[in-house]
Amino acid sequence: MMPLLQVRDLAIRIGAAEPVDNVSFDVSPAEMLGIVGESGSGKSLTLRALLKLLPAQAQVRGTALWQGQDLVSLPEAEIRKIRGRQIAMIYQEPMTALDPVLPIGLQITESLKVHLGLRGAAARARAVDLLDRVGIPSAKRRLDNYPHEFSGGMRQRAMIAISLAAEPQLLLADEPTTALDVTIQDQILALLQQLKDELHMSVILVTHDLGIVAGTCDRVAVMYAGRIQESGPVTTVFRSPAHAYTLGLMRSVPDGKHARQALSFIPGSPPDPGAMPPGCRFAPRCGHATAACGEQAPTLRPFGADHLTACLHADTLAPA
Amino acid sequence: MSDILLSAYDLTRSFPGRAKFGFGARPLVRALNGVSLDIARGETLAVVGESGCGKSTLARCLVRLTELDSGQITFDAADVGSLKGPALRRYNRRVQMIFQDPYGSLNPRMTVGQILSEALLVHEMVAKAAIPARVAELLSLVRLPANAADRLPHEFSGGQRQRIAIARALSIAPDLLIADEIVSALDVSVQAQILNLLLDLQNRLGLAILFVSHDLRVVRHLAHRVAIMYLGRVVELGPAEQVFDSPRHPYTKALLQAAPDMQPPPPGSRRARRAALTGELPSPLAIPTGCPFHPRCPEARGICTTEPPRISIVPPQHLATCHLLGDTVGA
Repeated sequence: MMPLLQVRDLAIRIGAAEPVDNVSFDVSPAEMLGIVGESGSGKSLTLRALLKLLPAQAQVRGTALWQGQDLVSLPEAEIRKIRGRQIAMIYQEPMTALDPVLPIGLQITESLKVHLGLRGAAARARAVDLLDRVGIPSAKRRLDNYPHEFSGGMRQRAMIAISLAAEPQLLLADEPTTALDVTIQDQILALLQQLKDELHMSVILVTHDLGIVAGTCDRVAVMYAGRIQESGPVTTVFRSPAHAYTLGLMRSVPDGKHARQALSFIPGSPPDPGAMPPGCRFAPRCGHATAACGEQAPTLRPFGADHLTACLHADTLAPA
Repeated sequence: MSDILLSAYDLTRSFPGRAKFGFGARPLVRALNGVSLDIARGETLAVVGESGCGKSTLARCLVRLTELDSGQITFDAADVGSLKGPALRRYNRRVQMIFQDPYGSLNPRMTVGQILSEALLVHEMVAKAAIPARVAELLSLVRLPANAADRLPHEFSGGQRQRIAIARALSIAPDLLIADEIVSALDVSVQAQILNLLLDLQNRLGLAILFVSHDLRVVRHLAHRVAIMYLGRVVELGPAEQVFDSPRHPYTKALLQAAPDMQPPPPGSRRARRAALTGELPSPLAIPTGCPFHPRCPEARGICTTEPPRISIVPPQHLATCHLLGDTVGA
């Protein structure tokens, strides 16, 4: 299948720091790709770079091919035709992403007007449809509510409704459930999955929670210190991780079977983006590292079907 | 439970909410609505729930950062509410709280050494001359380098700061640690280090820990017993294995089902996914009548909307408050 989005060698430089380097991945139609990593891994920056949402001092290199156009080199005027219409984005904190002084309905119809040229009663009817679709009860009445009258989960639903207004082919979701309670998180993830299937839409879900990826995504890319370290189908990566970092991350999560026993953990902390170690950026914290790991930056290489890893020692990692 | 260190009986606490349009009667937020539980020496009791369930208010009431409206806290057979003078100071020393935000809870202008010695000075725990040695001992206890004492909090990462906060709490040899979401802000690899540290400290020092958290994976790993809270009430309480492996309350069941699992579902089964619970968390300003969980409960019946449920006991030590359970339930 032709990928919908093809990102190659994406790098972001901010001042002297290079928080994202050499990032390549594909997103297929109607696929949910999870980008998972700890704080500072560059996962959110990568997502924002795709829609030119980074601060002006950030320099972006590389390519992101979207329907024959390169999002990275496209001028702002052209990006505006894609942003929100073909590719939409939702954020972690819907209260800051929504305009607090405008009713929810107006924020949806505004999007309908800009992207689809819908106005008046037609736009209102479509807005009710959208709120209905994302599971907001009595949608017609809720149209005139302000964001503060919505709970956290409802706000995230409203934000999803706005993002769906122009029927995008790709939804970028940046930690969309991190601020929500676990039962509400569960509802939002089920909703995203349902929308993906019904609208045949692709989703890139950025998260720090491996469990969310396991339960929701089709494929996963694991990021560490600004680079993708491993990518592949969720079932493959979770069953047989092929990167020492992925393995370490999975083992750090309590598995429910060995209560009150010491957990394995990754010693140390992630590197400072201004002073990345040479070679494999995980090497200084890695128990499997050898001299070769510190010399040359490893690139992603195939490791089984549709499975890529940047780990030199993928073959010798103990099975999970 | 043989050796009870602290017991809380029927705790209630309300806060005045904001009145509509800024005037008129201020509605009451019922944060704690009759909470009873106890903690044994050397035990970890986890308190789990979603936002607004009162778990943080409970933690704050136990260290008397928030006063109770009614109810009683007994610590080592003494009524905490009536403690005064030296006895109250002794209580404040023996029960220590650690907060979620390791950035906000440490004074940025004090060196780590000053932070760790402050409580020692206040409580006159050791002679002045012996303080540097005690600080070094504390740093090694939480596995921080000895030179950390001369540095400021901003020089440390989030995980290291949380170690400093733990060292500060331990500096005056408490019997009970109240830990409010202390690993929630940390990345998983760092979180594992802190959980290991807590387990190790508990084994070595015989600490009791009240561990407030919303993360079921962490709770299952750490806790001896678990209390599940919903809208200011404990809805289920029991040994961790029993609560996780055979939950009795429909809310606990839903919570466990909603928590992300580390196992990907088999290919093809994903489409069938449905959310574990429908509906929003009700506002603590307007707690539903009867069983507070009934509007979201998949198993609710007529009685649930009118009558508050009584406590059902699954012998020997597992409790749940649900109409669907009888007075005693076969284990």
